[in-house]
Amino acid sequence: MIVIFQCFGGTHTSVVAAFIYLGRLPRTRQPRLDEILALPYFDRAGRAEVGTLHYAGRNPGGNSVFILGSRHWGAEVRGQAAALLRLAASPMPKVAVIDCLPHVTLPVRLGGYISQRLGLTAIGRPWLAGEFSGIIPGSSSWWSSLNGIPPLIFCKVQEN
Amino acid sequence: MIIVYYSRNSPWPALLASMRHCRPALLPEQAWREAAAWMKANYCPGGQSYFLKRFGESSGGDTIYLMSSVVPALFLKRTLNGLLELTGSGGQVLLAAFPLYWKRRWEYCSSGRKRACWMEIEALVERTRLQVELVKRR
Repeated sequence: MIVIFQCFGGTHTSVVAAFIYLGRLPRTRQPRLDEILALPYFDRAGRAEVGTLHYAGRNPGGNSVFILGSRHWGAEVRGQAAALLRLAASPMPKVAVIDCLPHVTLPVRLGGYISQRLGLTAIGRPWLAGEFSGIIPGSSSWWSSLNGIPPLIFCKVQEN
Repeated sequence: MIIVYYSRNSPWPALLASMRHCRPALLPEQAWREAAAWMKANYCPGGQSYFLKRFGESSGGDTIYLMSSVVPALFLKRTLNGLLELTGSGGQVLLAAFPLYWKRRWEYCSSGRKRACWMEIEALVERTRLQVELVKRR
């Protein structure tokens, strides 16, 4: 199975969510700023990279995990990907997409704008790391609500 | 092999490319007339967030589809080609997309403009044919 964490730019929320999922960031304590800043792809993928599937690692089940930025077109991209895979593959591969866009908070949007749009990474990047550091801890509802989303599995492994 | 012609915002360019691919001898004026009739019979805007329809088969035995949505072509190509490769379907489906932004009223364009558009369509179809050949040779 392929697991894809999808958000607007594929550079903040989906990156943090994917690395929590992969166990690279703690779920039970507040991560340090340097832990977040050291994440691959965090606040690094530029506008030209949007739409590219970035490999993040393998989960314990051996499934490949990817990060994807889809701007405002997440639903359209999911729909079209599902349709093309249905046309193409037999047996159909299993692809799980976790839509992180509803979990992008206003301060994260603002930090992303400062860093990515205005290019002020010296301000935007620590802002973003601090924001994620504050919202991630196990007591927070952020990860639990994200974790509670059933992935949008749009292709089944086998069909009767 | 499955070839999917994609165009943003309107299925017209993808439809014309599909027609050109299946019938290489087609002339622009004739293509426009037939495309208008095809659109009337097959396309109703609204509903799904994207449009995907089987057009037919080429002389080489490839199945041609056309697809359209609001997603920019290059961006969609990056994602879908990546996903097709990862799932091992890259050799079965080829997504051919118009890289340029199309904002024309296709039904009503002048004959001069039709000829210009037709050249772009021919270029895309030719490039797609070459890509198909290369994939098949592999």
